[in-house]
Amino acid sequence: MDAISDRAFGESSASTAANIHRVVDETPSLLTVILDLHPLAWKSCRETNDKIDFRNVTASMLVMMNSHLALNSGNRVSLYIANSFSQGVKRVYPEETSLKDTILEKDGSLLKSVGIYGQFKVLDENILDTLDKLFHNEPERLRDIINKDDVFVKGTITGAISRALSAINKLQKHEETLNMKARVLVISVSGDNTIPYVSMMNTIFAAQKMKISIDVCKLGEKSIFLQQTADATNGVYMDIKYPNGLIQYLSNAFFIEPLLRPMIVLPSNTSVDFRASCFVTNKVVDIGYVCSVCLCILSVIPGDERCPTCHSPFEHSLVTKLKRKPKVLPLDVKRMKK
Amino acid sequence: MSSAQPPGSSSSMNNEDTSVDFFKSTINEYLDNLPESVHNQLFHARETCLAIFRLLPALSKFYIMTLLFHETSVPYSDLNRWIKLNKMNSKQSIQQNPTKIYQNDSIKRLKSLHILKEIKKQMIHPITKQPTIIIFVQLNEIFRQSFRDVLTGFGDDGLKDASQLTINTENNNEDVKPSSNGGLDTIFADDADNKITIEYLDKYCLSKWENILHFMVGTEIKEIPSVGVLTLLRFAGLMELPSDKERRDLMNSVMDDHDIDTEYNEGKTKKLSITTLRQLLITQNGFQFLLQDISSQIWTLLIQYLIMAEKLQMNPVDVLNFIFLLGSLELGQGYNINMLSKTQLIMLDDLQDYGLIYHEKGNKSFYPTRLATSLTSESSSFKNASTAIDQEISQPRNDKSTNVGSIIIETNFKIYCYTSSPLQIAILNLFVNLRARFANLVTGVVTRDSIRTALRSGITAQQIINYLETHAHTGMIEMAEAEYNKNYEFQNSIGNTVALEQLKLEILPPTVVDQIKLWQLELDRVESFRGYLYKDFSNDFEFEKLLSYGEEIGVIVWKDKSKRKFFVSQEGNGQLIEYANKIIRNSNTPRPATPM
Repeated sequence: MDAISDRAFGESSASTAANIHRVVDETPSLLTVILDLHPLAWKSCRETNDKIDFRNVTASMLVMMNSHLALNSGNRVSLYIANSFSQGVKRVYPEETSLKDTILEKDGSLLKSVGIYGQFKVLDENILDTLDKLFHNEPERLRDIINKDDVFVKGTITGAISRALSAINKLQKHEETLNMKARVLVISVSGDNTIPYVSMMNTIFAAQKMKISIDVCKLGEKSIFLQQTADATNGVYMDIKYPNGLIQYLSNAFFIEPLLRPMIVLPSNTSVDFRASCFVTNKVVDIGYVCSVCLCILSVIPGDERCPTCHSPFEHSLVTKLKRKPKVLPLDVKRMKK
Repeated sequence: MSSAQPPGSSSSMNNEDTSVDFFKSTINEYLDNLPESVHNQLFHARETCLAIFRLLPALSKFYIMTLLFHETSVPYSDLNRWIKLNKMNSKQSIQQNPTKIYQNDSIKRLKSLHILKEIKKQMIHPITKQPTIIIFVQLNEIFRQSFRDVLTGFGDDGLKDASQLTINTENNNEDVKPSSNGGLDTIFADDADNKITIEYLDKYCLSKWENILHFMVGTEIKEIPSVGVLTLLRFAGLMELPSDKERRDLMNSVMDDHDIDTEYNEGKTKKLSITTLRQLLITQNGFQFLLQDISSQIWTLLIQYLIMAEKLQMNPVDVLNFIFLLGSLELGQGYNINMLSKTQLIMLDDLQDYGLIYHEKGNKSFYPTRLATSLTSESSSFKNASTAIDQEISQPRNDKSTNVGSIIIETNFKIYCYTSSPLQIAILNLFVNLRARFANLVTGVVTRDSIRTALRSGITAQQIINYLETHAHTGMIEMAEAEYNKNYEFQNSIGNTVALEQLKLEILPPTVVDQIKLWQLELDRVESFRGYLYKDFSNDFEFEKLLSYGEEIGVIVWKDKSKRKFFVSQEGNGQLIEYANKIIRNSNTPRPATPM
């Protein structure tokens, strides 16, 4: 009798392996790609490694996004561009302008199943069109900026990530997509100097709290901050050594679904550089000053003796002490440290 | 003999507890069991590749993606190396590690679909210099080519290796479109017929489908489904003619299930006239079928259609391709029928009867309906589609803003259902003792008797519970959620992690759920086996010898040593008799066992 009753009551709680099947196989997920468009960085990338080609990268990226849609009919993708001088952060897909319409439309009839091919086509054409338009405007703006010799970046990677995160947050609160899992992929070419440190850290914490992994596909020079981002959010950071085979990187190392992550060995770095950057000069610091009030990191003491972040005044006597010290042993200290 | 299955039905029907599993496992089972040559033919069609890909477990998908752009084969061990083996579970044996099971499942599926191929290569070990055989894996070449084409949008002639894949973006713009070779663009109908709107298609497919269900429940309907539909229903064992029932009962008493199955099925593919088929009655499996959600229902019928198609000498590749093609079409778009093969044209008519397709006679284009386009969607998005259709079926012309859930069940077993649909009432009537009917409400009680009648007709307790859960009123769900949150916070505050893990969302009152299960257990008290009783042994030695041999090969169902009797299952009897004869020959004291 025991055996029989066990069986009937056991039916409701399926075995763990079957549970994996049910949960992992059927939860749809969102893939947000952030594409770094920094024109100068792309230029320098091409100069150092002529195999990096924007067209190749875009093509590989599109194939990857298609693949993501192919995984599950409930899957979604979105694409943001960052670091472009003329546009700032912009959502390319789904298009911002038609955002309201699509949401309204979807609310009414989410069942509207778009043909699979149609979905790929809409995605690819939309993205390529937008990028194409963008590049028509970019050269003029770029010329202006270069002439002005001002390296002010509009729409940083951080901005793009935080917008992506807020979109994900909204999506996850929405009734229809309540269980949606999400991950972010950053395809970056520019160096750390384009990344504002404080906001980067804030987005990392936000992502951590939302349990969203940020993967970083790094073309060109290494980035310490993005390494930290991936490390802190259980993401994948990779320096792409062979840009020719980018599609293989994207379809393997960067193709790990959020729910598969506990099962698959992530191709992660063993050594992550945890240095922070100076809030004033934006340079990575080995040893620097820290504001005792807001913990802001400084490589130099600002002239007005006030913290640049929280504006609390530094004690003058201390500052002079600090300032004096390097004057006494200016070179020796540095050399000995090194 | 345990409850006799109407022949021709898939035997897996009883094993599944949720309807989604049911649909997935059956289509998967069907695909898995196809021979390699059929698979290879299937993989030529891109839509099929994509649809099959979507049906796979997530890890299989990961493997495919990884190998897709890999030009060379990969050592088999790498497949394992990508997987984390949970250290917590290392104490348990490997078989019990869920991740490991999951991985094995995923690889097994890929192999049975012949997507993953093993190649043995002889290599020289770098250190020991010994030749060793290493197993490499790679994707099925045809599958790989088609699936790459799906993702990249290249034609068959493009793209020979991955480096070519990254062709400049301007060209990509055109290349994204599927090529003329089997792609969809070519079958877009030229005449953009705007008369057929999506609303019209929805209405059309619903009325068709509803009609079939109504016919099954036995509601009076104006238009009886076509001969094709009725033949299929009969073939699938969902409905039967009174004469079938008599015949089955007769045969059941004489023969084994297997023999009837084949003979009976052959008879069933014969076309009968509509007047004969009109008398069809619902079977036990038909009742279970009604409790499934609409997507599983469609798949059940389609799979039966496939099996029947094979019997009618239709090419299963064509049939499957067409089904998967339908899944990738766009709703509200007309498609040209010129591209279809002969088999597919026949299917066009049949599928039209199920409401999957809208096609006007003589018109050059056909329109897939929502039933068709959501075929290959997965459960999550699917649930929306199917519940919405369910809703429309259950509340045909009511206010659409009312929610899907309509059933309230109380702890005192009273049940209230806000519906006016005869279909839903008929379904409820299967296991509820209905008391009163109002304009938009029926009330009833779940009693031991009402549940037992349902159980006897082959519906399981789990199916009833699932049905009630999926159709529960929003109020019930909200209450359950509130209760869950309260419990969660409480357990959390006292830090009882064990209780936290066991916490479940209980939409139905637990008393009712348990009671329904208990009622099922009542019926399970007697289990029956078919077999042979061995008795009247002349001596202990003979008895012991046969018994121990029988136990060794595991065919003994019951034994009683004091009375020198034991019972052998039907399958094991032959073996045991052979053994007994051997003993007799050796000992020269003939005394055969008496099978009865």
